[in-house]
Amino acid sequence: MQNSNLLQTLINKHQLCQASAELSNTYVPCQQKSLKNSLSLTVSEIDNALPDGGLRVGAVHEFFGTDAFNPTPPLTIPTLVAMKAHDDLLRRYQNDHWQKGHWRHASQESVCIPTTVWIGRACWPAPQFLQAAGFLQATGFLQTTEFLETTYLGKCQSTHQQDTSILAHSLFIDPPSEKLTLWAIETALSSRSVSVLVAVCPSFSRTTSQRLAHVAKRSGATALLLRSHKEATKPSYAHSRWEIAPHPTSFDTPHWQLCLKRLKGSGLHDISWQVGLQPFDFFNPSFPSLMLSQKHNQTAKSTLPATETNLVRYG
Amino acid sequence: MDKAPPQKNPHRWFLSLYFPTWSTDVTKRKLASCIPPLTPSHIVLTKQHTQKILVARACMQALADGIHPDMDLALARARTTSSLYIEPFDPVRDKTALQTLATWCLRFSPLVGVDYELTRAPVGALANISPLFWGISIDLTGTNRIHKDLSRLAHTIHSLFKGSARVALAPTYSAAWGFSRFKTPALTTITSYEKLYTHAASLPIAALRVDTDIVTQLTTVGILRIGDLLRFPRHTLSKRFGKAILIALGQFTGEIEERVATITPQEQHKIVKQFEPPLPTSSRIIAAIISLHSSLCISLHEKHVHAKRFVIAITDTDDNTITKEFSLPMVETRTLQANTTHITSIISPIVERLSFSGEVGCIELSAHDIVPFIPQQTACTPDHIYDSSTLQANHATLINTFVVRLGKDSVARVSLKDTHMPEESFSYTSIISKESEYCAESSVPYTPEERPSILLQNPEPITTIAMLPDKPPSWIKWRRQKLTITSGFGPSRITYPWWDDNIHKSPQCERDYFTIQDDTGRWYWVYRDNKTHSWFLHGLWS
Repeated sequence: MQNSNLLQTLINKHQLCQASAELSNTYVPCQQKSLKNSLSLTVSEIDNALPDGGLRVGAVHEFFGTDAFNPTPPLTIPTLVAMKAHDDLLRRYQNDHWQKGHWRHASQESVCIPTTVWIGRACWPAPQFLQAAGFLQATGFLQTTEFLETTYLGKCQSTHQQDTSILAHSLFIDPPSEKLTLWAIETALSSRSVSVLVAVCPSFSRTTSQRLAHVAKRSGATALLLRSHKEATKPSYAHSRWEIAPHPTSFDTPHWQLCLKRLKGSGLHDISWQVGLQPFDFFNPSFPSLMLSQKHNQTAKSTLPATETNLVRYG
Repeated sequence: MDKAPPQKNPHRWFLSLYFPTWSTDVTKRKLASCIPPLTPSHIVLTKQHTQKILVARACMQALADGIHPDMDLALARARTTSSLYIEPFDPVRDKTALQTLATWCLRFSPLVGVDYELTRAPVGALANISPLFWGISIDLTGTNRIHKDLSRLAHTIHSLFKGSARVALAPTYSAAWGFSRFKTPALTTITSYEKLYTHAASLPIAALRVDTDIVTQLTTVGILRIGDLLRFPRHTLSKRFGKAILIALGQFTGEIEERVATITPQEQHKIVKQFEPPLPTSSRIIAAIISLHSSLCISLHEKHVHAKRFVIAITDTDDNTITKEFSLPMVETRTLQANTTHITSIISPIVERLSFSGEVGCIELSAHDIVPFIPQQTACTPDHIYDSSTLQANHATLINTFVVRLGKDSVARVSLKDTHMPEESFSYTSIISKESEYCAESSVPYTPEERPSILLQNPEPITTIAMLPDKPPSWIKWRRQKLTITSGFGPSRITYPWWDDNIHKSPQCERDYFTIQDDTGRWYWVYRDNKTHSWFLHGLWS
């Protein structure tokens, strides 16, 4: 409070510029977004179909592969979700600064946003894939983070770009055992400095699942757990369960069948979408995302057990 | 001979130390510290050269028996009747030892350096550095008031090394270097420029530290000594042998100033406390360590630095010392000082795992991997959604917890490199290593469909059928599964950086990458090695 009064006094004496006024005249803030409590699946049709407008923040979401032969986890879609979540965080950070009229000297402070944690060597995505968002920044198509260097003359003289890519805000953890993997997931979820956690999850009990859900709810971090298809029949307290299967396509990019097997408290289940990597268009650049190619309801009964909403009470 | 030129700075003094058998001396000291101590009469260090094992370094006794560097080891064995102690030449160890000695020499002058040729050499090229460049130089300029008589100091230093070092004191760095290497008595003191010219006449040209090509050229025309060189007019030398010889001559005589590439001593950050009476229980030991840690953090904070690694040395009443290391990679010292709970949770399991034979009498805590602390601005208003200080403290706590429980190698950060080779374009480094800061050196950007989401650690060989010259495979066999390919794109050629001479000799060659889809819809990233025409699977969009 004292600081605010002191700053106001300085502004009144014309010894300090009011950055918010200068900003509103000089720069057009990026699109105002409401602080919604969900992570986007990068396809608006899927986001709109979900009651929270995406994957609920502060919850555990499970992704199952269907591929018995391929030992790698279904990583591409969760990675895109994490990349999009990071980008949304940056935009919120920037909007918040501009709305509140904050100014900071860019050379004195790094961008301070929560970290994305990748637990398990198998789910460490290729850095060059993660760098795809950086591609847009590097080529000048996307500028999510411009920080103003204000001067005592009251003019915004220059902008300074910092490395805000998800790679710079990622932590890669390689636990040596399954037990330590579960410990690392719980520890990361309980930390208030983690926004999204992507982990290759070993088999765990119902109690562990419940504990993870509670920890995520308490801390506000979101867990995207990549699980083996063999675990798909076991009960869990995850907020949503998804099944990802490769889908043959005539497009030039990989496609998958994304099936929502269960969404707690919504009654939605067994809804499928065919999604693929959005090809990059140099004339209309956009953030790396999925595109919807087809939607259809799955008629076959889900192999997953019924939701266990009655067993968990949030809040 | 030319008349001695007027000197601009007549009060400079350099002391050069040269150790002709440094590597074998280090080995000898190592053997003497063994239990029981070993005192071999002849020490020979070897190196591998193609299929031969050659002598790299030999001790004085071995040299006296006719064993010399680059001699075949079998021949060296035949030269002497004494038994040889043989071990591989380890230049990195010897360089480290020389730097340690140079640090010790800082007591004579603040300007001490190891020979520049040795300092700048990469690790791989250390073995090829001539033994002449394994020396130490001390700039004694301005220390007359402390040492009184510099000639006497040279005598003292020479006697300290008991004949293993050749010492020269001269008004120029180059002259001191040359006299210590090539002057016959092991101790040379040149106290004036006139004496410098007199004594320099008998030195060989190599004492000027010029390239061997220039020495060969001068030898061809009969110029063998510096005295011969000084007889010629300078401009004729420059025309025939280039400017390098004139620069070296100027540095030798003091016409061109030359400075020692000095080493910087590392400041020790440590705190030691004796306990009387000794600490009997682990809870009191933990409390003592936390107290010491807090004091150390305050002193670090005052210097605007923080440490990534701490080492505890606990000495019990039986004089047994246990050393344990713990890492706190991301914690600002001020935050850590306040967060006693966090530091207790880190130190408690470490102390409880230790076993003491008695009570603890002394604890030493030292800080390592010191990095400058950059102050962070906190949020202006309390309702700011991202309070940077809180977020950073939480982040630091998380990293410390991971490092303590999982080990420092299990917590990594990625760095990007500017190369097109996929497996070389990034590296994972431990979060607490000095290189752990995120670095993207203008790395090559790609779109998501250009690079797979999962890159295999090592490309896996596959069996394929593909039409030449550049059609994608029609089927592949990977991990004993035959996959029918329905579509594919490519090739996209990635080649080694042919413009880089160092990488040109590596076995890498051109690769033609294809993006292919099998009949189940899985997408793979495969390549053909254009040298061996073998196929590999390198990644996939899982």
